[in-house]
Amino acid sequence: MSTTPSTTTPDELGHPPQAWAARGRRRLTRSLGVALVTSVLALGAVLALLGAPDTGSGGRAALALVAVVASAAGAVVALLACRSLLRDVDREAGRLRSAAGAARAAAVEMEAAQSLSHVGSWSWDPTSDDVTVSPEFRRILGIRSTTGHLTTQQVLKAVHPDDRDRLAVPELRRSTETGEPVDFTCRVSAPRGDLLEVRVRARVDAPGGILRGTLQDVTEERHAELLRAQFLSVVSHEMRTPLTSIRGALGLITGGAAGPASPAVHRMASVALSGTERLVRTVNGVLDLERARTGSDGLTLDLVPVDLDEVVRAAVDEVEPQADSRNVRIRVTSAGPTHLMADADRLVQALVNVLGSAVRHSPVDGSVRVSAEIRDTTAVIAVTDLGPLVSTAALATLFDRSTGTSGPASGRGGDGANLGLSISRAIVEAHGGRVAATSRPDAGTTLTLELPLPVPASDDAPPSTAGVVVVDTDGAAADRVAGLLGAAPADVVSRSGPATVAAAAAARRPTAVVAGDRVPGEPRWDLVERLQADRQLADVPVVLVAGPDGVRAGEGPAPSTEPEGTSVAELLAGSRRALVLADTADRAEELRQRYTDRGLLCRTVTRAAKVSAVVDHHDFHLVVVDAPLAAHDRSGLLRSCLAAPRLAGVPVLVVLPTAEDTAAEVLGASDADAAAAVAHTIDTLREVRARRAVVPA
Amino acid sequence: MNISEGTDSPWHVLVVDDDELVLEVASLSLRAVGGFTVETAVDGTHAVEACRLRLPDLVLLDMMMPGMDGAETARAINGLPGASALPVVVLTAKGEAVRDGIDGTSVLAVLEKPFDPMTLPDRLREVLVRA
Repeated sequence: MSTTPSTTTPDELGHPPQAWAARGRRRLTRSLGVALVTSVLALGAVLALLGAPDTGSGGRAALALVAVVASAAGAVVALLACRSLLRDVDREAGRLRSAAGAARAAAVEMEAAQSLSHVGSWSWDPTSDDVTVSPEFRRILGIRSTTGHLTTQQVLKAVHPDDRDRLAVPELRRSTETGEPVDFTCRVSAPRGDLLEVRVRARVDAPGGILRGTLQDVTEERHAELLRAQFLSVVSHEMRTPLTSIRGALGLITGGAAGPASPAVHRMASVALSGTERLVRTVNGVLDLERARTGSDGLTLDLVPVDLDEVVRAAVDEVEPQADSRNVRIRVTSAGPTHLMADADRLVQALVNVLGSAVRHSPVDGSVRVSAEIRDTTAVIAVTDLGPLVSTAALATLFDRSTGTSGPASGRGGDGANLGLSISRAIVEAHGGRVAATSRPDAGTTLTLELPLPVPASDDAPPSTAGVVVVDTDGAAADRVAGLLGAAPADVVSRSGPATVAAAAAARRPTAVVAGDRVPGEPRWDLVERLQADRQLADVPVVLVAGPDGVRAGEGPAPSTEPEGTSVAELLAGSRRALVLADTADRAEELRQRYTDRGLLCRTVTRAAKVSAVVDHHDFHLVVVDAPLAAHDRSGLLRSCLAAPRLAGVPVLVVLPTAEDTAAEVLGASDADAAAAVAHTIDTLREVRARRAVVPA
Repeated sequence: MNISEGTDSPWHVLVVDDDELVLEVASLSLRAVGGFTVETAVDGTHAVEACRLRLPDLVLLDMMMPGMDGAETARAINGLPGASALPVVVLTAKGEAVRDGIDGTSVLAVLEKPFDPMTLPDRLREVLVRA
């Protein structure tokens, strides 16, 4: 589509005009040469006649004859040459006419095709800033000009002001220089005043060359996508609501909560319940698949570090009842500790579908093998069953949505198996992975899910000497905290807005950021959010410190020497969820009370074994750690908490004890103890992050 | 948070859903299986009014409702005196976008529809105990 009709010439149609012209020139030269020679002969004869009066009449006659013959021959040769030339000209003119006709026809076809598909074409010459556009391009943008040559300014006028940057000259120039393809969607004002959405795509053949591309009106497609999303939402709600009451009512009958039921009623209700659950799964599956199919805005993944073995375990747990009912054993081979960036729930769902299919097709009393292993930069989960083999042709479409392979010929029949496997495929592909299948008489049928592992941290990590950056609006306090932690005074940032502080902290490439009692920022979470959002700080632990003075300041009247900024206690206010960690239940309750009073929604945990029960079901904005726990962590509670994938990146607040705290008895409120609590928290954060980044070979 | 009642008195739960059949099933589940006391509301406005009269220990809230949706209702309830951290559990049909809307509210858990009525009380109890 990158050919621009208005610039199409016969040259491009394979008829070089120079060829016939050169041939004609050669012939003409030859013929004129012959004519010249004969003319010279004739002239010689005439001169001889004039210069030799005493020549006999016989001689004169001979000379005259030579002159006449030579002239005649020259004239004939010249005439023939001209005739041949004229014929050539005629022939070439005919060819040119038909070539021009073909070019016109091609241009008309191109124009019709562009107009029907709402795709215009364009090219941009970076040296002259000349934009050559097709008629459809002008029609879409509502540009009145009759010529196919425009300036970027004329084009930009039609584009929505907010989207103009993307089509601006520097941006286009960047693409021509880097050779990076242009591909984006922007809004333009249509001739009738409505806003259209257009997709602009272009690329250069070679860096620095002419940028050629298309402009497509995608308004209708976008509208259709919107309708589809609305439709899905309606289906989701309208089907699920009645299913909720049906499922619920049947559950209450079979569970005995709706009063005693006879065995037959109980049995029938159970049948209805299992049918309903299957219907729910199908509805969920169809919706999942639709969302996955619609691409980036569809299947949203919540990517966090996930332990591969845990995924396998969760999926096996879910399929176990189904396997038990067929007396199929599921044998698992572990990959060892392996973390990948994934949406754990989705991944479990993908594996459950594959495992479920294997269990369904496995012979009764048979076994299904699940193995997880690492191959180079990929985690491979393979599920093998010894059920009926699948033909090569059917293997190719096993993960496809089409029902074609669900027939008996494939050996894998019905039961929505394909829907489940196609969902698995959509999930795996959304993770950047792929699925595969093999089926051999000696090895059974193996379905594999391959998932990319995170790229390990490179060796040229920031120098560790950069140390810890301490943030506090009170310079003296910041110096004190920095001193405790052994951070150099230069690593203290004080008294500036949250944006400056975050940028300054990032610029130092720190190994950790510690926010003291007083931090700059309004709104209150601004600093924390900025620190977390900063790409350079993405892997850097952020530790907040509360108390002992800051906690008091938050409770009592502000002293006159109150430094500027927000106390950590105030920073935390608002409906945020906090996970409170302490060694003892009393201390946990004390902290829960303290931070609940400040408007935080608190959950407390005092035992490592309870971590996953709490963490797996809630999102937290903050981890509050009591200093005695942070300083020693004998129970491993802090460690297992910070290692929880769902808490990755959540800031940690270390609460230093105040004089009246019971913790003061456990942990002296000395500087050294406070430093130990903060330092150990930073170390633990670094350690769990390093573990996530390390990929076993 | 108003969860300091003795363990003898049952939890009081407000169930909000525009579908009366769902309300009936959820109520029976919470009463018969969970031993909770249950109040119901058919929309956000009624839910806020019910909370104004008596704060429940927990609100079980449907997300997609005509008028005020779940997120708006949760916000309105949080705005009532003493209810800024009132535990709210939302019920949602899978696929409906919830996360963004409930940010900043006291929604502590999201349960998917259809739910299992035999385990629903336990799941709410878990939330209540942790809150």
